[in-house]
Amino acid sequence: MTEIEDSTDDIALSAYIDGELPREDAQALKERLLKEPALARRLEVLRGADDDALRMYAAIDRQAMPQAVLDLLGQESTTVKDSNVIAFPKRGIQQFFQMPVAIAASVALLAGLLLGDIVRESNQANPELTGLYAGQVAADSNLHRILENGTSSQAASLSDGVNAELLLTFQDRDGDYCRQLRVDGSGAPLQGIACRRGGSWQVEAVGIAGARSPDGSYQQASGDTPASIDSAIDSLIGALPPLDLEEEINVISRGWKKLDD
Amino acid sequence: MDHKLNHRQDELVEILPNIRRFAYSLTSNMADADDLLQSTVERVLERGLPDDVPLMPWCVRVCRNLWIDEIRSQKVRRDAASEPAVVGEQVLMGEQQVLGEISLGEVQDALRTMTEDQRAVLELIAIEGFSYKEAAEALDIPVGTVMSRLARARSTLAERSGQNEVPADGPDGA
Repeated sequence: MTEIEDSTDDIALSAYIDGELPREDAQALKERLLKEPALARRLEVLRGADDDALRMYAAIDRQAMPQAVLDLLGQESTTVKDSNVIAFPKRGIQQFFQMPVAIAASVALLAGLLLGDIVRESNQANPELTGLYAGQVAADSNLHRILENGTSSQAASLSDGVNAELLLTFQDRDGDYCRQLRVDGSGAPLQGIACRRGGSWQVEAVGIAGARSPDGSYQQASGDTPASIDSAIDSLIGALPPLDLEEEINVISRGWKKLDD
Repeated sequence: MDHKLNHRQDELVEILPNIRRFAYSLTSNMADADDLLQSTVERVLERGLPDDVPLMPWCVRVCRNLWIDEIRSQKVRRDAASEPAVVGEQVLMGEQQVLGEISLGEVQDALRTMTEDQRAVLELIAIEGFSYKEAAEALDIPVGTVMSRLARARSTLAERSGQNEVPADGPDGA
């Protein structure tokens, strides 16, 4: 790759991150990303810069607002402090992150969703999998039923030729239950995290869970948890360890009610 | 003060952190960013807040113009005649200002690997969520320039973080 191509690719990848690439160009880029691992890694490198920037500006936000500025606006310092929560971008892919989780979690989720976007086409024909990208899992879907009633290490059919296996169940920092699952179908194997919020399951992260072979097929790597999923779990998980099988069965039987409900 | 002005002033209060972050992207120094923020708020209040104009892009323009026309040159003169701001700031902030793994000193070092133009574009788009068109209008540059500066900013920042170690044509990417 020449320096000029490199630069051109960076510009295209950067615009892809922001959802600013024209539809046809985005489609062409997605196809390249599926075929060119180096380009996909470059996407992650550039996206990682946003992670750094988010952390940096969060540090700036933590500095007390100058009193002289507050005085100009007749504000008490606490007024601004309370609203001084960094308001991250609300457009494109990043719309998914309007949730009360730590900045670090948002960063990790962005990685997963970008990857999810890349592999979307490979599973697009399967309506069951659209829930993995839509944020909220439809209540009448098999995916919802598996999340609601399945126990870990129990594989279940999501639809023809597509299986889902629950890997882990844990409580997040708000006490909401979250579940990590793997989905294996004809396309890229995926891992996702969904959390039960207000009675419905919300997808919080999606990532590719395997490597592509030279022949184009995906290796089914059961132990290969995407870094984005690992990061999301680290960011989400509360003080308690993940549930064991008995605890899972108990919480399923009581309809996912928290013990303090 | 009438009701309408109060309403817009409330909006201004809400976006103070946003303006401040943008100011930091220009100054790459907390003290200067806060000075620039104060000047921006003063100027906006002096000139009045126009109705039916999105406030953040308006404030970005005011902030940038103040920086270019007045404050940057003063800062250059001041820095030339005194200790570098970074030294004072690092001492002033110390460990109590560390947030997670990033201190203000580290933030400043990292942001200074980019040019001012790159920082401004990155902040507006990656942090504030401006569209390319909005950023181009606020900064008075073509969209193409926004795109190239943003890509360069991301690349530079990633390079500093050691993420650029993977060559574009890696072993399995040929």
